[in-house]
Amino acid sequence: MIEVKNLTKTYGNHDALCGVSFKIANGKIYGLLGPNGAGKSTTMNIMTGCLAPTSGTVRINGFDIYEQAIEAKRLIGYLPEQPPLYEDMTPEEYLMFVAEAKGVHPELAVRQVREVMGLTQITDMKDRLIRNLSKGCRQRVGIAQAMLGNPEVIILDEPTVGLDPKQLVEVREMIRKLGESRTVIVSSHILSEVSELCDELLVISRGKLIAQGTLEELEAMTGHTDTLHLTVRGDEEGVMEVLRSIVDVSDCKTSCSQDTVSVTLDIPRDKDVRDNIFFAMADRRYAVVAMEIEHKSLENVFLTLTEDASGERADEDDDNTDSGEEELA
Amino acid sequence: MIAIFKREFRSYLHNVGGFVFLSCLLLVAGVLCVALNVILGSSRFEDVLYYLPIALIVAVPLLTMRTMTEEKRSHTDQLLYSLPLPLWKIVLGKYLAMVAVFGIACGIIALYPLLLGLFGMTGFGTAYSSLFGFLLLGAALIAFCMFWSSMTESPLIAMIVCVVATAALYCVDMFVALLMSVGAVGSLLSLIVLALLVALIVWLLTKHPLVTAIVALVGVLPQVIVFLINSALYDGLLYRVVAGLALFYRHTVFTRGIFDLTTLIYDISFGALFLYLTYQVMEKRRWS
Repeated sequence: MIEVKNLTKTYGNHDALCGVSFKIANGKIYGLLGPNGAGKSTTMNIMTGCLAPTSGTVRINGFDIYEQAIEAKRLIGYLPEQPPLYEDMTPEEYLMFVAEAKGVHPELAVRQVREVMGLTQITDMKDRLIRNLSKGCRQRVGIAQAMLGNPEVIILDEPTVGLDPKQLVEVREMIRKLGESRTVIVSSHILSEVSELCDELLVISRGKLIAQGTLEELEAMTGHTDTLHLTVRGDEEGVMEVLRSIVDVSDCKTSCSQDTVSVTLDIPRDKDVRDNIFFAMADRRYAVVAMEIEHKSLENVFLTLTEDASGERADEDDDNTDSGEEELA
Repeated sequence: MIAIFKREFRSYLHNVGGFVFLSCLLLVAGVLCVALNVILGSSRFEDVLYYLPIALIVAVPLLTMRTMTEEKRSHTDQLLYSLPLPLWKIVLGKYLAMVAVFGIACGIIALYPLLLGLFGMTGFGTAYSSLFGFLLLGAALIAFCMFWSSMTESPLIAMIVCVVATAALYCVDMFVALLMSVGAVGSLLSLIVLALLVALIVWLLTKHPLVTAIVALVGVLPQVIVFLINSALYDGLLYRVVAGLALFYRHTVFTRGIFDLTTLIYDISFGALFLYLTYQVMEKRRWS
């Protein structure tokens, strides 16, 4: 449905995007995830035709966003990071304007505006000036605007930034509802939000797409181990001996306090070794005081992925300087 | 485009900007009318329209200063870019809304001759053809100022730049008479400088060496060839060119009772040129 190919965007010497490619299928909620300044907004701005790429193409249902801009833009509803609102209008006037500008037939426009106002719960405030609305309400007007013209894809750039917890829940609920009938792309740097909302994630860092897939797939990408935290009452040597017989302890961390030993080690995800450890310890009359498996959280996944990307970049830079020096020599 | 037009027009009438523009223009028109037609007793309303263009130097920038800068400030430019509308329609919609506001001013001014008619004014034809000329002049200036506003980011700077640019355009009038005595060589050199200036502007806008070189060459080479073949053609040419291009100066013909079709075409081309440049500036924003 959406095909982004080799997108690059250069501002002067700074590469905001370098060769981003991905495909987006119909009817799912996608999360564009990345730290601040990673290129999320740039990607979205290019996908919606607000910004031209230095090179690369974006096709929406086969329509190129530049060559066949009108057809392509009809398929997209976009809410930029800052909701693009005319403050001297009321939500109803504003939505009527957007509907008309999107070429919706006037009679249909009235119905559609009423519909999206109902969905986004702004009917109560339809006659107040946008200038006087709270941030959450403005955001909802922004989302309502993106829904007009019944686009197949809705792109929301950081739709939950700056909202209070109640508004946050409401906006998330709204996005989830939108996702039932169309493709939604949401950008965010808040991991929990994306993992909760989205079916599939695109992780972007320093202008590069570093991973795409479901949450489980991304977790799998970062290794097949979980972390086990174990606290046993006994002597360190004895405890380690028992552990050694069950799991690989070459990479573990231990700490002793009074009569207990705490061990942290990586264990394979596909095999639960807790029972074995428990009984083996019991045989030696070591009391297991605490034992817990920590699944790699999305935060860890995200950090690992983005750190890998920056590490690669640093390596590349090193390589470049090396070759440069060789040439000079 | 109609949606953009309606929104913009409505916004002028709901905000102070449109009214400041209207009151500024109508105040000057009223003062001039009272001074010339009532106190001095002239029966010619076109005298008012002879002086009224001075008011446009401030009034038009007041109207255009927010049109582009405000979109940027409220981030609504992103909405406009993402709408399934060609950019030229957006520019044209905005432009026509401003012309419509200016049209309101002209509509009110159009009542003055009728009122004066009650006291025996003559020559409605000249009065209204002058007013039509004034409308054209205003429309051309709105496009001119819209372009300058689109180049800047803040309304205040847009205002200052537009006032200076429009005033410069007005000042060309004063130099026109001085240019009558410029001979053939002087004309050629000045026109070559003019052509190079155009090339410089092209360079600043496009940063494209080849295009700039072509524009400079097309501007300079034919002139030199024509001059070598028949230098008499260049006698007083600078005066004719500048007088022909001086926007305000051209419009004085309307107040002399001449309905000048070439000026009408000139205004439309002048307006179209600056609308096209505004469109280019908007398009360029996407690429930078």
